[in-house]
Amino acid sequence: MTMTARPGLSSLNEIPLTALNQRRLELVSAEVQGTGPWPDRKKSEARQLLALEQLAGRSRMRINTLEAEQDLRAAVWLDVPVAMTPGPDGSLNVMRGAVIGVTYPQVILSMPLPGFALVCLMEPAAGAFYPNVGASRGQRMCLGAILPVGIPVSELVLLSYGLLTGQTIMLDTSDSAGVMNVEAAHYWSAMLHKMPLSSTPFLEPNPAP
Amino acid sequence: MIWSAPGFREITIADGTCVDGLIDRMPDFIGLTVDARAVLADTKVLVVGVGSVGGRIAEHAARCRIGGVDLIDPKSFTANFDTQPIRKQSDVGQSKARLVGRWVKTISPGSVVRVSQQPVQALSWLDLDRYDVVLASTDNLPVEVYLGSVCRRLGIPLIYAAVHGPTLTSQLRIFMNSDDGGPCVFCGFSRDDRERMSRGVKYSCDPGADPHGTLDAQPTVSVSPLCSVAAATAVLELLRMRIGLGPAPRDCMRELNAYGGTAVTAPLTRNDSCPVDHAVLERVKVERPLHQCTLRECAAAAGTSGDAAIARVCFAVVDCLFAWILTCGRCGKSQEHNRFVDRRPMPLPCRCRTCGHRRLAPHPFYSFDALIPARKGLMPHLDVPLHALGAHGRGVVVRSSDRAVLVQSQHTSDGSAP
Repeated sequence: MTMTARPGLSSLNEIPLTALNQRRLELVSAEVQGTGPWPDRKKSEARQLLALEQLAGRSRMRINTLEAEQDLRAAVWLDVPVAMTPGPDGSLNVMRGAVIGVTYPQVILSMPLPGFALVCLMEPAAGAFYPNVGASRGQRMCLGAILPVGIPVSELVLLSYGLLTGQTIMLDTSDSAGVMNVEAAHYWSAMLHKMPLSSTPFLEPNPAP
Repeated sequence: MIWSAPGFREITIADGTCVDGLIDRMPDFIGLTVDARAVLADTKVLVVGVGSVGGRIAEHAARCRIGGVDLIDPKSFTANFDTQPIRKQSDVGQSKARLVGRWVKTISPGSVVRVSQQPVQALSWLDLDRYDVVLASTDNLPVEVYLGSVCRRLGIPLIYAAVHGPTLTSQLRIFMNSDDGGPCVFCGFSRDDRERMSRGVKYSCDPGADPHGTLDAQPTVSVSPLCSVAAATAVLELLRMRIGLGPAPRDCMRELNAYGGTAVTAPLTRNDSCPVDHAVLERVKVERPLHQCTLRECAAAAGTSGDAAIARVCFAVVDCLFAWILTCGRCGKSQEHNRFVDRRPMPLPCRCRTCGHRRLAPHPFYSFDALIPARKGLMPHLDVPLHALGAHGRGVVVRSSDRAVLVQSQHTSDGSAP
């Protein structure tokens, strides 16, 4: 018997899209604007994102919005625990499920951007309690000191998952690269034993269908 | 006439400090068809980065009596006497822009010299429209790319001067930015350049660089005469461009290698896989102040009429972003806004409808930072004056599939609201 290797994150382009996702990609592609390689790049990024959704399973990730007329924009629901502002007694409230908003502009193909430039936490709309998520101004998520030139959208989703689960976290308030909520950084410095909120990898060994 | 960009301070020198009785040594250039002195006195340049190379560019510009010299550099001089244009111990720690600016003003008291100690990215891109030529020498790849894209958009010639110490090579890259088909700075970036830029490489002249790190510290090692050569050839190109000496300037790279005494000129061409938008903006003036104009008028000025055609274009208002949704910094609730807001973070003239707080900000996902497709919420506002849409209106970019037009007012100098 021959074993077929399961596609991985490095082979998103090779995953055949379902009929539904193919139709979604066609709708997105129909409105793409831009010059040079930018339109094709947006289509490619959109395709990879749809493939990631298939690979992860809709119980892990769902693309709620996907458009690419100018910037590529995606609102993505993730099955992930979300730490909320502790109550007066200091007890941590953890919600289930988050929607992140990814805005992917043309300039990322030629310039590194600050780590907080591309992704925000849309749901829960307020009260997320992480050192690397801004408490106001739309809860921007800082995914590192800088986002490299041409970082793929699918990688932004994975980095966001790592941030929300607490698998990657930056607590050093003296380091300007990353901490957007000092109160949360101090809290989590004292509560490191509670991190990560989940150690489940983004791709589980046997994804739900 | 005030021509310099905001954020600059004009350098003034006390009486008696400037040289009196200047002697004119400007030659009668062969083939000259213009009044060189008048053209140079009317020339305005921006020098970005005024260290080892840029400081000397500014000095040469002053000796050529360039009428307007703006200098921008956020950094201060270190104790590098080997290459930097400093003369005494007390110069160490001084702002590069201010110190060089004073020196330039002393040499050429008739020039308007202004300095800024902020990064060039802090300026609005339209602020650079006031310059005839931009000369840069920054040792910073993201700044190179940014400056290249802005100069390209505005159609301003950019002269980039650099040195490579170990090979005793000085290099100029000249981008005329005259049409959409030309190269941009990023066109010539190698994979290595892109990776270094992504890793956040800083050079030793950057105060943020870690002097002990291997990744963040690549010492800019050179010798003073090499820096002088790069600066001098950059200003010679400036002269050629402005007073029309020799063949018409073109997109090219000029390298001088001191080992072999060789000079090489190679054309710079567009890289078809370059992801940067190469459009050079066409210019259109409207008669009324721009803040009184509507988006429909701007579209018409740019050659697009009728709702169906306008629905296919994108708009951008200079220094503004379009916020569909505002989010409250206190309660987190969102509310519709559907107006332009100033790009700079500043309090908005409205309150949260839920908690009454004033900490409202554009939602990062539901706001457009650059081009806004007209279909994304602008169609109902086509006949509303820009000021009523929250836009202060220095310029409106109208972008269709084949044209990119900057609409400005001829009513005031920059078209903005009084």
